[in-house]
Amino acid sequence: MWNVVVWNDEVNLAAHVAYVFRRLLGMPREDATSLMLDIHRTGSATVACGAREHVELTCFRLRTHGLDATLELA
Amino acid sequence: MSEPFAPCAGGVRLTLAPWEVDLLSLVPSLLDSVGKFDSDPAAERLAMRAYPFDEDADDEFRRLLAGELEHGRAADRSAFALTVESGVEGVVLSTAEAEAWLRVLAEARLVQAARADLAGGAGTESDQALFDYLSWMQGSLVEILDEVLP
Repeated sequence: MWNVVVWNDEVNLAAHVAYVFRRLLGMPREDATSLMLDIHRTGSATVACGAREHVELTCFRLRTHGLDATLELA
Repeated sequence: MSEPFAPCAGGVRLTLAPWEVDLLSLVPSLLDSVGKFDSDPAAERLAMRAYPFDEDADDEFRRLLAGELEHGRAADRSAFALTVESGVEGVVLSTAEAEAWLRVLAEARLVQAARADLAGGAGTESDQALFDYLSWMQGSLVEILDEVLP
């Protein structure tokens, strides 16, 4: 299993990051906002996990929306 | 400035002043210039990578998705360029077009911030002004899209 990790950055708008989590990961608004704030406070967070082929696509889509996403072994 | 985006039947209504069209028309060429010269910090920021500690896996990831990435970026920039000039009269963006606008605006902010080192406080007044305008545009669009997302 692999994790998708999103890293904090000082440029992306907070509202944009939360919207992308809702749009791409299907999260409720409250969960997406909480996750965005967690990343802002701690520097990074795991936003999804799964088989490598699946999370590579998720990572790709997050990056096409400007988020700094990477993959790591769970 | 009046709000550039508003929800409407069929998508998002875009309304721009002529000076905004002139400014936003520069965005596609700004994005197309990424990576066209040495030591472009914007190219580093927009690089498609997934495995920061595994160069081989990262190369393979880019190889597999390079075509989709280029196709997607070209489609987004085309949708943006085709609709921006109609903003003066007012135009309805489909949800897909509004999403393309969102990705283009997000990329443009990242490019502008990276090149002008805005986070480091080294940007000129005009760099900062463009960045602030793009931020305002993107924030307005996110607010509308967030409202209409189920």
